[in-house]
Order: sequence, then structure tokens, then C-alpha cells
Amino acid sequence: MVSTTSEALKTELVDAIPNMRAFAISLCGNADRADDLVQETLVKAWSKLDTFQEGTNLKAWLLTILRNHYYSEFRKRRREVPDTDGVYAARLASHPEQFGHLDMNEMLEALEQIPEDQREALVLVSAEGFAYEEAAEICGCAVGTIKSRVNRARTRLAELLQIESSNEFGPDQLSEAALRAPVSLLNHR
Amino acid sequence: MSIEQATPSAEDAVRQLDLDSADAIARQLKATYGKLLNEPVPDKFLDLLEKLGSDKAQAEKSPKDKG
Repeated sequence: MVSTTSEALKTELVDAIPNMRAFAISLCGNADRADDLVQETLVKAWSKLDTFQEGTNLKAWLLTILRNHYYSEFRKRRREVPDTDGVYAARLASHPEQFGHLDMNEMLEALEQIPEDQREALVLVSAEGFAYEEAAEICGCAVGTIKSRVNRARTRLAELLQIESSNEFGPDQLSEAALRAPVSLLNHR
Repeated sequence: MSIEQATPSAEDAVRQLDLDSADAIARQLKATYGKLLNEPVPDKFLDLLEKLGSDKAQAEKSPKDKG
């Protein structure tokens, strides 16, 4: 007879699938491969469901399995090449308040340009909303490493999307930007 | 006052973003990610979980008949 625990956990698993798919897309850069990764992860997770400690964060547990599977097996096997597709082609500078119009694909393409370790840190913290400590656990690294990667990813993303408060490329604007005091990003998600 | 180089140096690569840009990045990233999260879950995943669940139920019911 199927235990009620399995049923409840299965519901939670279903609820986590969108997060797994989104995180997988950020890793794979390709929606089809991402779905394959998620399916393989679900099989793995199901087989070790008895190791999951109830009351702990199931989403974090699943993303950890997904991430580990990606780096240990999936990525090598698929010989993935990110689809760059001329992302660096001339792009209009954006005012910070304007890039609500930024295309979702532009964001995803820009994300793919960022090194994987920075990208996953940024996604876990800024997109998924994990605390630095949780993201560090998922990635198996120190909290300071996550913070550093998030900062680097943000900076790189801003460059790629040309999101800077100085919106024209002139010496005056660059000097002005240089005069601004740097603000700690440690509390920003 | 000297004019800053246009080409980012290694130090610039890890410079802190100004607050507006950091907020802008976070907002846009969340918006994009939010759209991804709102995608409906394709049947193949639900079917997979059904299958995993029924395989388990099968195994629990009659362990000797495991396929």
C-alpha cells in the first residue's frame, strides 16, 4: 500500500518542478536539455526520497540533486554548447527604469554569457530567493564564495545588458559614475 | 580630474554596482525568472511521477513480483 507520506511528498515534488525547470534552464541554456535534466533528477530524487529529512527544504534538496547531477554526469554527456547567437551585437543602452521592456530572451542569453559558477549563484540568490547560506549549501562552497560570485555575476550582467546609471558612453558620464560611492550589495537579492 | 578608462580593468570587473543598477538587475532577473516559473508543467513530468509512484506501490504490494 502506498504510504501517505509518499503522496504528500509527491505533491511537494510537483510544486517544485517549475523551480527545477527554471534552474535547469539557467544551467543548460536550452529548454529541451533542461527538461531532460529535470526528469533524470526526479528519478534520482525519487529513488532516495527516504534520505530526505522531512521539515527541511525540499526545493533546496531537489536543486542540490539537480545541480550535482548536471555537473557530474549530464553536462559531459550532452556536450553542451551554449547558444550565443550574437548576443553581443549592437545593443541599445538602457536606462535602469526602462528595462522593464527588456526581452526575456535577452536576459537568458545574457545569463548564458556569464560563467556557470557565477550564474548559478546569481540565480539561486537573486531569482530563487535563497539566502546566501542556503545557496552555499546547494553549491557546496563557502558563503563568501557565493557572495563574491553573485557580485561578479551582477556586474557582468549589467555590462552585458548595458544597464548602468550612466546611460551614455562619454567621459563625463564615466567620471560621474566613478565618483559614486560603491554600495554594498550584500543585502540585495 | 582624470577621465576613467572606457575598457573595464580587472578591478572594475569586481567593482560594486551602483544601487540603481543592482536594483535594476534584480528586478529584471526576477521578472524573467518569474515568467519561467509560471510556465505550466508539461504532462511528461506528472506522468513520470505517476509511474515512479506506481512502480513503488507495485514493489510495496508484491515485492516478489518486482519487474
